[in-house]
Amino acid sequence: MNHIIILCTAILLAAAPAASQIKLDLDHLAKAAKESTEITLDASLLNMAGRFLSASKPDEAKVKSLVSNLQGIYVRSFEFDKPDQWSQSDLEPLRKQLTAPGWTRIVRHTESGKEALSAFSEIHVLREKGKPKGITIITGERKELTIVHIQGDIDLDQLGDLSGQFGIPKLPRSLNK
Amino acid sequence: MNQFEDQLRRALRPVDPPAGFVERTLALAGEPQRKRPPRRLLQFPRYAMALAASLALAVFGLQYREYQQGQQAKEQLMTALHITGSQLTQIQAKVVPANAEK
Repeated sequence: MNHIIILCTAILLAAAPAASQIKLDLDHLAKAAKESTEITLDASLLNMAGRFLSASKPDEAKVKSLVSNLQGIYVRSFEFDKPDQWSQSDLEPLRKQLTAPGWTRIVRHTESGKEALSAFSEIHVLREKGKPKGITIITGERKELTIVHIQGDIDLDQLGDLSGQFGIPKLPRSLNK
Repeated sequence: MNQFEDQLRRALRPVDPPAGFVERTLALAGEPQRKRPPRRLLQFPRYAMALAASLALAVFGLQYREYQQGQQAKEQLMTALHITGSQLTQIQAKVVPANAEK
């Protein structure tokens, strides 16, 4: 009987997705978009990419160190021909996941046009025991939508150290605390 | 039983060799024997070389595939960091002045 309970618990634990895992199911937008970028780097691919980063080159060494603790980087970016080819309802499944315990929206910026919301930006951070374990960035305009999800032990100081490279700005240190 | 003995006798009856058998046999016996290298020794290097070449190709193929996947993963990582960077810059540009105004 004990074995059955242990087995069931193990199956349930394996089946239950971790809070840091976000499902980005936006294939329907990729079909409608003029251009789309889809990047899916899970832990094994990040590990593989890390092996191809040189530890002797300072820039690559920083990236290597940053990605060594990450479990995944997922990017979905869409550019549309016409405005309003995507709607906020397309983001509802994602937003629902971002309301799970541990997730906090730390930034929300909106710009309204004459008719409706013309642009918005959001940053959501997942914290476990006070440490960032995931970050999701959503930016949208009427003809553009970009979602970046980084999963794992994110050292925002390290991310800040990449400022100037890859267009990464200096991040406020308070985010790491 | 007699029938069986008769059959056996017929089967084992002495038969004369075909014409020229003795001459041919003697001729062959007189010929110097050609030295052939042992079959295994001749075949081993060929098979070993083919096997080694196949293995080397397979290893090279796997390594090249891994190299390509690694390079692709690295390029994707850099692109992802660029996109992340541009998103953060965009947000910072919008949020920081808004906060500064307050």
